[in-house]
Amino acid sequence: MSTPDYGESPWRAAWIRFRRDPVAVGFLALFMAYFGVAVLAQLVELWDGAPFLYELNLSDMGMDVPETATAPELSHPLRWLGTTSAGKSVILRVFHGTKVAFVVGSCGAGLSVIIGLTLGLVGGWFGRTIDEIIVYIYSTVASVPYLLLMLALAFVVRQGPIAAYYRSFAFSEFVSLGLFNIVVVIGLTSWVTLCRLIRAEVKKVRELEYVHAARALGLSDTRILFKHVLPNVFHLVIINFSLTFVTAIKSEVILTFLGVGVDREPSWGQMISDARSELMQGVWWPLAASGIALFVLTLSVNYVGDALRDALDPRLK
Amino acid sequence: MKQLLSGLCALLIFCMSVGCSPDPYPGETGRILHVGLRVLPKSFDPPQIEDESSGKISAPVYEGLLSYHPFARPYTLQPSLAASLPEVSEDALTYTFHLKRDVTFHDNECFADGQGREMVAEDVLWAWKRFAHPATHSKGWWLFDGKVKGLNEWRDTLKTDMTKARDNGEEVGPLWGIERDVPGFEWIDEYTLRVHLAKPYPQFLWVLAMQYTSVYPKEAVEYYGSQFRNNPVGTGPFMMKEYNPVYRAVFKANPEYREVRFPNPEANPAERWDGWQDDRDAGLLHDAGKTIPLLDGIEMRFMLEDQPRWLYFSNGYLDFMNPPKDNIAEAMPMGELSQVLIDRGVRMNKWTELGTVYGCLNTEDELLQNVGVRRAMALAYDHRWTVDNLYGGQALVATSPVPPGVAGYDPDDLPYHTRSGLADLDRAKKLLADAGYPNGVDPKTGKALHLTFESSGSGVTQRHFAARFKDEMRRLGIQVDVVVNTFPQMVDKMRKKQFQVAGLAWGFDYPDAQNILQLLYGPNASPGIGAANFQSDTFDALYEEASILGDSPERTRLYEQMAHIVSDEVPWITRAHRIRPNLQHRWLFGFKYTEVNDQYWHYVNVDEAERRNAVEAWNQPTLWPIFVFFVPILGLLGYSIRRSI
Repeated sequence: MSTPDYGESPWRAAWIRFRRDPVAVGFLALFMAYFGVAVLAQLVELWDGAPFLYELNLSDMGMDVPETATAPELSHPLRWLGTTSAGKSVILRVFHGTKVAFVVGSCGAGLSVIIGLTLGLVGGWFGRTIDEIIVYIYSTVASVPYLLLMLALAFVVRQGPIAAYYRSFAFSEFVSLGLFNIVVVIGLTSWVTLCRLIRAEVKKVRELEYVHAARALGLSDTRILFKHVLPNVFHLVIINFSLTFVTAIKSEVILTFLGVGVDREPSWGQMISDARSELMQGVWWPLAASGIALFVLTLSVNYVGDALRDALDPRLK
Repeated sequence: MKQLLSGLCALLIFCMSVGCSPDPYPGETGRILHVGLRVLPKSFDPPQIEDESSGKISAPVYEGLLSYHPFARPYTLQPSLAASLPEVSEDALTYTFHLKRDVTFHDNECFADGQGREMVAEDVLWAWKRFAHPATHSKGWWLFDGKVKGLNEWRDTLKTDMTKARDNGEEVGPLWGIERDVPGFEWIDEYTLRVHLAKPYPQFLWVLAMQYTSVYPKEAVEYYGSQFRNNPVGTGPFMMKEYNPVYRAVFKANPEYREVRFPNPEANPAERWDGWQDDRDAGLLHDAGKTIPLLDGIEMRFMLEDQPRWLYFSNGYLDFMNPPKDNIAEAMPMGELSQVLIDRGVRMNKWTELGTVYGCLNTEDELLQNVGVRRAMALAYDHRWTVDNLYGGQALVATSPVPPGVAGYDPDDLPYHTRSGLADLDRAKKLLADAGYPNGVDPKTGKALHLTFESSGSGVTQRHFAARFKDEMRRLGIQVDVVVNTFPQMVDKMRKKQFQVAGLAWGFDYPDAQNILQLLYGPNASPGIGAANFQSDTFDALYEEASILGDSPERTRLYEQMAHIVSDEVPWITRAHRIRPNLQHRWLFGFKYTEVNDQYWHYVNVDEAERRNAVEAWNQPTLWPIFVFFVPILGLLGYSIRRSI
């Protein structure tokens, strides 16, 4: 029986540590299942084109289903989670909502990582005036209440030049303005924590011997930053990405519920928003389906994120 | 010790929560009407009162020369500040009004001695001139535009002279030049005035019952300046007591109000109206013959969310309510009042609103110029589904722009609607093919037709309507893209003709079909109010012919012909006339709700003792959650305290 060689690769070692937690592995599998659903939903849309399946009433698909809300039943997979008050399949809308959640989560968190990481690296490494400017920017952003900032930005992005810029892209055919809006808003509001962490870590790392050695050898700032500093702070990026991913999905739900989020396609936020009126008529299943889907994904990502942090933290070896 | 302190704190908080009272009107006495408004009002300044909430809060305070009869239907005008209905010349161009002599403005600090002075003819003419003044930016100018002799010229000259004066460095205030005479407004004596119209304007009398033409003293405008919008001074039966624009408006009875009596048709045959017996049997004439106002005050609370407003009503804290869309199923299962509400003595009145919900088609759009496409779209629309599902059955399918209860309504004229309201997809597809787009495909491009639907918000209701329109058009083979706008954005797009289809609704300002048909009159096209940009010489000729006629069978026939042209040429897809239920608690009297006349407040009364008893009985504290949740916590606290000692 061989023992793992921790010195060989920190990533491999982290993965081995991660695998020791079976619950985390289970949640990771669940997360991957969600991811599969999201990819499948996108592929079906690309392949099938408009009108998308989730737009169709079940009666349009040749099924004998009234154009009103019907409770979940097992007679057909598209009715497993019931139909909406317009006679559309809830399960298809939950699937499409999963795609929206992943786009929002990954792109929103991705954008925030790009901003936070870049500013954190630059501020931490170069210090002085550049650092002061970056600190000023993130302190200003952090001083505005998060929800207010998001709402204000959501209005600005939706109507401003960023929306016009969006329309000039080919992907505007596939990603609605509402969705793009959410991604930009989340990206622009969620980078502060990562920026602070990276900046502090870089400030620490740049004083270590191996960085001094690299400097002494005459390596450029860029090379030192990307070759020696970045790999040593990257675990923070992964952990922060997983946390922001969850925040982004929840923010989508909040913004859509408040009427400034995703508007042209179904999302979990939209389903929860619609439930305000549906619940009064006893139609609970769209809310239950979207709420449970959101809860399980959030729980999975949170748990996996925690397990990743434990696995990647060198102090917890 | 720490545990002991925290335990005592928790106990204190618990005791405080038990002491809370659910009464939202603590310390209130007298007969006060409680009203919940769903939108924040904008202004008390009559020329700016265009929205529902501003109209409702202003109605207790202001009066015009005429008002609607509180109970008579069809709607009938009665003198208010005028002593009688006006004398009208044979050519229908001159109206002579005699004013009541015992009318005074509310006591207010804007007057030198704080005492309201007498209202005279000069006040009426001054208020109307201010309404037309260019610096006032009146929301209702269109009501006088081109109608009163010399008023447009007066306004235009004033505008030019104001600019010149400003250029010369003069100080130009909001009332600059208002003293100049208008040829069409003639002062005869203190209690008589005459209006000369530029052309016959049969709707003029309805206009004089609108809030825009209310009478108020110039002292108030001069004293309060821009804050007049928050400090109304009028002649009405109630006067302002407290106003917080984001919380509530409170009114108290005007002790100096002239003697006005509640109609008493039983005792006085001259006061009878058609159907007065029904109103008597419905308990509306409970206070017949008494002097108004009957209430000591009115409290209007601004409650923007439907759910709290509904809970307030359910628990007796609001005296009446039009149930929100989401609560209709709970309040009126199967369209009838629920047993819970019946047991509580709630009464329900239903009426069809004076208004129409419609899809506005831009007839100047390249695709929608084609009348065949418009007709196909109208026929493909399943109005029955919308009524049953989006209105909970509380609407009529609108087959015409003119709603029931207004001359010109003809439910049997169905060129491109079906009698059942269901879609006729086969005929729609044939029409679309005949129009050059078989199966919704554009032969030039080989692709499906594409339309953009402008929605005025991303709320649940707007989203449902937009999604339904998309569904209906998809069945016709037309792809619809929904664009969500704010309302100002949508108005801007319509003014610039930059839209294809928009979901709109029109509420009547007065009960005359002209009020809605004007939106389709050619000269009113964008940037005017006619967003459909509909051009029909026949329609325009009929409109012009009808516009100078008073209420008559001849005018009704013209309205029917115009409504037919709209149904036939489909500049609008008329969808629904909403049915409005009004729920009233058993202690409310004399209240016949309408949407064109907010002055029903004047005749309302409440039985305060009955309300107090009911509210007490319905709002007993529910104690079991306290025991379920707090007793175990207290037990744990007690245990921790015991351990700490």
